[in-house]
Amino acid sequence: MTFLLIRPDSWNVPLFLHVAGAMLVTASVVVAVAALLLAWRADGEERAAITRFGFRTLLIAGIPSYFLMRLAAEWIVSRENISSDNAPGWVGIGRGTADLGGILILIATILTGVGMRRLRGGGGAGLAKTGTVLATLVIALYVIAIWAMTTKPS
Amino acid sequence: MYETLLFLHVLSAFVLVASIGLCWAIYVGGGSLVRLGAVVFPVWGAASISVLVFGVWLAFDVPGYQLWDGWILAALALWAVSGAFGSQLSQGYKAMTSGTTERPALLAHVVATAAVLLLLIDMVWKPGA
Repeated sequence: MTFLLIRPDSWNVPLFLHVAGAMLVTASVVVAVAALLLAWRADGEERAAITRFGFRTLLIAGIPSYFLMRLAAEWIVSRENISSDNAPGWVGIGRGTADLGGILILIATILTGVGMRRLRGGGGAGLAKTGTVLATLVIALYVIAIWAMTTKPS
Repeated sequence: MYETLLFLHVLSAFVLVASIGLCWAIYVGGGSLVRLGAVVFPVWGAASISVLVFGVWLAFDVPGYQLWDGWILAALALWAVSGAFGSQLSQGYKAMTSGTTERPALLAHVVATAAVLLLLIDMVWKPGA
């Protein structure tokens, strides 16, 4: 706990960008999942409109904020002089959950986007639902990441 | 104990930010998404209380932090601002669901979001700590 009190000022900007990016990517995925779940229960044009909203949220907010979080994470790791050969467990958990989460966000965005296009022709609901499930997994992964970043297991 | 409190405090903050994100989604998406309000505002309220409880608990738990430190008082003030505007948004969307009003003002969303952004800045920089 003393560690927090003596954190060098030079760490503040990358730490802020990392945490802000993490909050934004998590919020974006939560918004997308909420919208896509609503779309499951809607019909016709309303379903297509809500699915489009979920897709755009992942594409415009989720992916850019993921990169902000991930790049700032490497910045703060470099400031802390943590070598990649001997990184503590919590850094490994953070990298693992972030990278897997990033891949899942990308796949969920693609599936939702393709599903959205097919909804116009009456199909595509299954793809959008799969995208919803993958995005929900991302939320679970990021709760694990928050646990690792705050409790810092060795 | 410290790690558990910090985890719960930060997790609550993430839920709070996600709630604000959902509120913006209702504002931008309108019509169909207004149904989300039934879930968003109770979650926002619970996350807001939870952030405060675990944050104050941390202030007592960590040697060197005092509840009357400037950055903690600033955080409490910002928390109150975000809560007040969150409550205003909740009432606004409730009225919108019942069809009596238009969506709540953009300014209320901006102020609630700015308060939470300033809270994060305050938590990272801890001015005066």
